Amino acid sequence: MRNNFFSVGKLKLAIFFCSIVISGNCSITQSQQRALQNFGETAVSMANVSSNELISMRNSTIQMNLTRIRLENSSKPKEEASAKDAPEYKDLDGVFDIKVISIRLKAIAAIRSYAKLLLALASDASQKELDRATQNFLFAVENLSSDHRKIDEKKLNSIGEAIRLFGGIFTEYKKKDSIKDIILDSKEQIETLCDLLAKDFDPKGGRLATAYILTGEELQLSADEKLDPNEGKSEKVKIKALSAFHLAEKNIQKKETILPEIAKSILSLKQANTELFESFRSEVYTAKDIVKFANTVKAVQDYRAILK
Amino acid sequence: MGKKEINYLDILDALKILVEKAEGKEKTELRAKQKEFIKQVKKIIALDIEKDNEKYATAIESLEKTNKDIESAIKDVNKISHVLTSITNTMNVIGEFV
Repeated sequence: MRNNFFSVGKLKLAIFFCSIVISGNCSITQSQQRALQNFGETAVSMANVSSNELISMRNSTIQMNLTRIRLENSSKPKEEASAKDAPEYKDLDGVFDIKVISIRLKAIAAIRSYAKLLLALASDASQKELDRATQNFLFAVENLSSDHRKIDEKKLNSIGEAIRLFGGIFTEYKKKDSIKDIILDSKEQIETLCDLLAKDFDPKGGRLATAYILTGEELQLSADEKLDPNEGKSEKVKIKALSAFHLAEKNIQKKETILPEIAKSILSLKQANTELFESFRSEVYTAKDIVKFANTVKAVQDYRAILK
Repeated sequence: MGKKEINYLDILDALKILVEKAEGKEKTELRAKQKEFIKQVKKIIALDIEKDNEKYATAIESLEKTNKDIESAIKDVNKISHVLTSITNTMNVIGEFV
């Protein structure tokens, strides 16, 4: 009988430790934390720059189209030139209409939220929440125990530590489990959005940035025409043309500067997403992860001894 | 290998070189062709952008759903704290009667 009891007790103990070992091993590793941080930071900085630039491209397109139409009309008869209901005035934003811009801004906002939420889930905020709840719980236990049977302070602290430890293991396990599922499932969505956005910002992508540069080229062409001495335009028209030429040039220059940079940062985000995916798909444990795990096991053993 | 995109800006640059070298009537004609080229390319781009809008909409819908899942997961992770808080509240209520 005693033998039986002994083996059942040992079995329970073994199951208990196994479950701790399995759970304890399921916290986010150092490399996963790094990949998450990298993805989050890249996403937030990309989102800020790209959404600003999207609005700026739309505003500049309107400005360039308006300048071009006015420049072209400057050499036309007054009645013809002032016809504000002419079809060209109705499409000043070209391909940058509100629907096109808002769907892309929405895409950028969704990526930013995704990154921020992932970081929030991976953060230690849940540990702080657990600490606070444990502290309140201990106060309640202390208040409930009668004066002549007050729980020993050392034991009370040990109970608190044990709650924090086991609660923490459970929380870490749940956290990692959720993050892993989310990252493995959403890889394709992030990649699709990155590819679409990168094309939109790449001047050679044949989408928004290309259309924006073409609007600049169109304005420059009109200005060039008016500045051509063979065209015999008035000084007034030539001054307007010169100002239009500079406006066009300022915008065209973006094909060498900010636009390819944004396209590059979007592709970096896609790369960061791949690395994040890989870090959760094939787990790599560093020395720090092993030390962290060993500390968890030791802490479990210590609390078990105190609480006996 | 994906489909290779046509680089409109490179074609336009080649046209610009031609315009710069031309003179008189030929220059005027080439400018007109350049303007027409830009107009037509913009039309093609507008069609491609329209197609992309649908791809965007599908991916956004899916990602927004994922974001809601993460919000639920955050609540789920804090379950232990919520349970502890509930127990604490109950104990405090009992404490008032004892």
